[in-house]
Amino acid sequence: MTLLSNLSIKWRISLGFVLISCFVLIISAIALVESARTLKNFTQYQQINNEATQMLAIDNSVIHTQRAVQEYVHTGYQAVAEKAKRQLSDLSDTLAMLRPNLSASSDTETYLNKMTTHLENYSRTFEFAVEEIKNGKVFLQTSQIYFKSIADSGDTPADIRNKVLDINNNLYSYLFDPDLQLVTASLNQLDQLIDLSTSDLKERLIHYKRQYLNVIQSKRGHLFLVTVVMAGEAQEFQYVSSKLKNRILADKEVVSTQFRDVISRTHSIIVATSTILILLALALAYLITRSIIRPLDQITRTFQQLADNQRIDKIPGIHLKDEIGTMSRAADTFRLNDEKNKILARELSIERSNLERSNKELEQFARITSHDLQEPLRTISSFVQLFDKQYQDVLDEKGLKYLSFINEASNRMRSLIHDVLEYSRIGKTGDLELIDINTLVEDILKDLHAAVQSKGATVSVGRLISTMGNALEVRSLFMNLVSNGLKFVPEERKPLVEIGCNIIDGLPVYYVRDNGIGIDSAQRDKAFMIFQRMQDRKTYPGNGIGLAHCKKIVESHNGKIWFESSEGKGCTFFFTLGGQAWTTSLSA
Amino acid sequence: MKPVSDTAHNGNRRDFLKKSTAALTGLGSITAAPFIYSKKQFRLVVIGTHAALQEEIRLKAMDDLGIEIVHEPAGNAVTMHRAATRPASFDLYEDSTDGVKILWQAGSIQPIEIERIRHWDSINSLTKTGKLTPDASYGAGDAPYTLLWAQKNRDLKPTPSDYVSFVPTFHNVDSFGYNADVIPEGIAYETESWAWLLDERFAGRVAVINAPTIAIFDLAMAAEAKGLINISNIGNMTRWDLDRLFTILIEYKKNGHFRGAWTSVPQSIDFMMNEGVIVQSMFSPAATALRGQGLPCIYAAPREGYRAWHGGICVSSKTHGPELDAAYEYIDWWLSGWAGAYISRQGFYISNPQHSKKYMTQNEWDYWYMGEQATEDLTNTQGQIAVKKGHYRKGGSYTNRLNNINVWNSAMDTYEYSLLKWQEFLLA
Repeated sequence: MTLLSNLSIKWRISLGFVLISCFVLIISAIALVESARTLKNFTQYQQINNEATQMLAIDNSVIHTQRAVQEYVHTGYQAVAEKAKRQLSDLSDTLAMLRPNLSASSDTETYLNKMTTHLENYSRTFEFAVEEIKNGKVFLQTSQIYFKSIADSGDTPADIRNKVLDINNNLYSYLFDPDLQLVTASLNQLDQLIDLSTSDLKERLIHYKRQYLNVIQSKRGHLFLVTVVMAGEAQEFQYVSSKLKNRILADKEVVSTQFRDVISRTHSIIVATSTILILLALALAYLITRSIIRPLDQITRTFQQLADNQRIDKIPGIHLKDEIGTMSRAADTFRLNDEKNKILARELSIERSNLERSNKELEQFARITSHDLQEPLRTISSFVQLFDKQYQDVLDEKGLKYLSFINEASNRMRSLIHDVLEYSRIGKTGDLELIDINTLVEDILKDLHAAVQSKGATVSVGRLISTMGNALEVRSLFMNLVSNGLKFVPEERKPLVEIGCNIIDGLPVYYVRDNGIGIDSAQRDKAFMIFQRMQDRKTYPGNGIGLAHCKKIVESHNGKIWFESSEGKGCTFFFTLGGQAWTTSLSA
Repeated sequence: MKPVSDTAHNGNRRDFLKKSTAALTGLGSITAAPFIYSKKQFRLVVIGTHAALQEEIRLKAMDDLGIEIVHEPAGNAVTMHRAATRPASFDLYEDSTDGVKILWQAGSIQPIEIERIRHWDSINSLTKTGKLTPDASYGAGDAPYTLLWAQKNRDLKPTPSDYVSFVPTFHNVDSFGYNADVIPEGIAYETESWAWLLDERFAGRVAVINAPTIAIFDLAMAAEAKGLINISNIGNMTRWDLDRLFTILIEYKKNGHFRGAWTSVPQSIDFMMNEGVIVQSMFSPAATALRGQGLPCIYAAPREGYRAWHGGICVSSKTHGPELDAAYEYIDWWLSGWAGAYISRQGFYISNPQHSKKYMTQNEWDYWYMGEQATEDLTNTQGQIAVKKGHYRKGGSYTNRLNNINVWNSAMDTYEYSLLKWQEFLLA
């Protein structure tokens, strides 16, 4: 875990993939090696199996060959002899073909050499047996010629003829069932007949006996060759063949066992390796996931706590060296900033409360002051008027002049107090409502009709978008701006006032343009300040509170007010009154 | 149809035999008819078993006699068949006398004049009368003395005459050999028994000779010793006897009791040396050779008695004139002593041992003939130690062994039937 936590998430995930890829490679490599081993064993198994098949073919061939040999021995047919020879030749060929196919080992070589030797001996002996049987036939034919020369001769005495007939029958009996006693007795009889006979018959009997013996020896000869020599060779051939077959089968069993073991081991190794590596991969995935998810969960919970405005002393995971650590440290910075903001908000709230309280106190002060000041001011005015009326005749011109100054100052103070009172009331009364600005402007122009007429002014009004607002204040706003347009115009110039509205960035921007004296750029900052006058009072009378009124009304509607002007070339005041009215107006 | 003349026929047969014999024996050039130019040009063709036809004997004989001698050794049965059917293919036949009856009846051998055998009188009584000592048994079967004397009526009877069918030479009593590394050595005439050939403990490691005229007797004695059969005349078994005997043997064969049947002495050595055989009927030289190669092969002295055989030299009926003279000289040479001493070192006996004694050391004579303890190591004909100092010959002295004969190798009246049964046995 320590190692993992020292790595970035990117490296951790990469490491995970690399390790899992390595696991897959290991499994693949093991599977490859084991499958190669399996293939090798399978090839060996195939070879051994082929050897076993060939040995079975040899066994089968031996059986057929022996059958053909026995058939020939019993029938004496030459065609059968040829068939047996062909089968012997085929067997020899099969054996020769088997030699290079068999796995090379000294005992295999010995077995094959012995089999070859026994087969050669068997084949050679069979050739002798065939010759012996052929000879036997010749001997038999020859003996029968002599027999007929004796039996058919008129010179042969009847008793000798009869005995020779019996002797000849015994020969055939012997050939059918070789019983030596039969022919031994016959040969003794022949000897007696030879002794008894004379001249030509004796000679024929001697020849007959010789051929008779040849037939017997030939029979004995081929019997011996077949039953002893060939049978002995066949037995040894079969014995060695059996040994070789058993060795092959034993090898086959060994290879089969190895084959099974290899497959079983391959299976076990792959299963075990796969299981171990899968478990390792899962463990690795778990560790990597946990190293990522766990701190993320903690951070998520922390963020939720933060969202719930709970106090968090510390962001978890800031010690981590990975991306989560970076994120945690960033979050911790955010937390610290949030803490600071909260402190600032609290301080701001206090400041705001203080400000509101101060404003209220100031407003109350202004209202009280304005209201309280009006009473003594009215008293002053009343007494000034009474003084003027009572002592007009008494006072000289200078006194009257002074008295006039007092009266004018009282009136101006009254007007100032009125304006301050009005200023303090802005934004304090009345609910918001939808105001039809066009109607509102029409009403204003009716009120200003006399002034417009007197100055010969021209007022043009564009289409004005309705808006939400305090109707009295908005009316005062337009009134102030239009009045200023009519007022601050040089005498020689007829006032031109244009009232309109543009849509900028989705908000209605109202404007009031005039051709008046304009505002000097040096005084731009003072334009909206209360009681700031930019012209002399004599030329343009007033208290210097009109634009301050306008600014306060616009700001109480969450809007903005500004102007474009150059001295002597008129001025255009722009203002907004928030966006709510626009939406409503459009929908209307 | 004119009868085929004997001469013409024999001529054809001789040509055939030359070819077939060459092929059968693996020798390329043999058996041209003996020619009479001078002694040096004589070429005697001798056929027989490996035991009899030994190279050292041939070389010694040629050296002593000044004639060319060709040995064509083969297995016992093959040799006999060749001798019986192809007399023109050989001059002399050296083999066991159990084939003499067949060869005599076939007319393939001729009577031998005893007057022309200078050493005839030195030949002992075993073949002349059938016994070395009066108290000995003749033994069942074709005892050599019953086949020796050729009568004027062409019969072979135990009645002395001027002619014999064979000249007795080497002989022995056979039994079986066993590997003492595997089978603990038995006691002669007491525990050693022919029954071992059918002992189930040795199943799969038993062999016999592939010669019915020999092996049948070994196996019959084994079956009798084991109490499996009782045969009235083991030397001339009837078909019924053979049926009963082979029923038993085939059962054993099918159960895998027999490793096989050997055809020659070298093969019998190979069987015991390399093929896992631990007990088998065998010839004495094979046992001697095995001991020389380090395998402790013991040639048993079975309590039932031996199967005896007698070797002899027969003369082909087709050998005449100077070749016949040379044949007689060769026979006399055989009896003159050296050859008898030579084969005695292989465990055989010679019919006139007194002539061979001078060619043997006293130690050899005492061990081989007198049955006494070897006072020093004895070597075989190959120079290998065949008998360790202190060893006794199994069965005792020559007389003692030859007095314990159960049966002689024989060609029974049921010879042909025995061949058929033998084949059945081999292929079972």
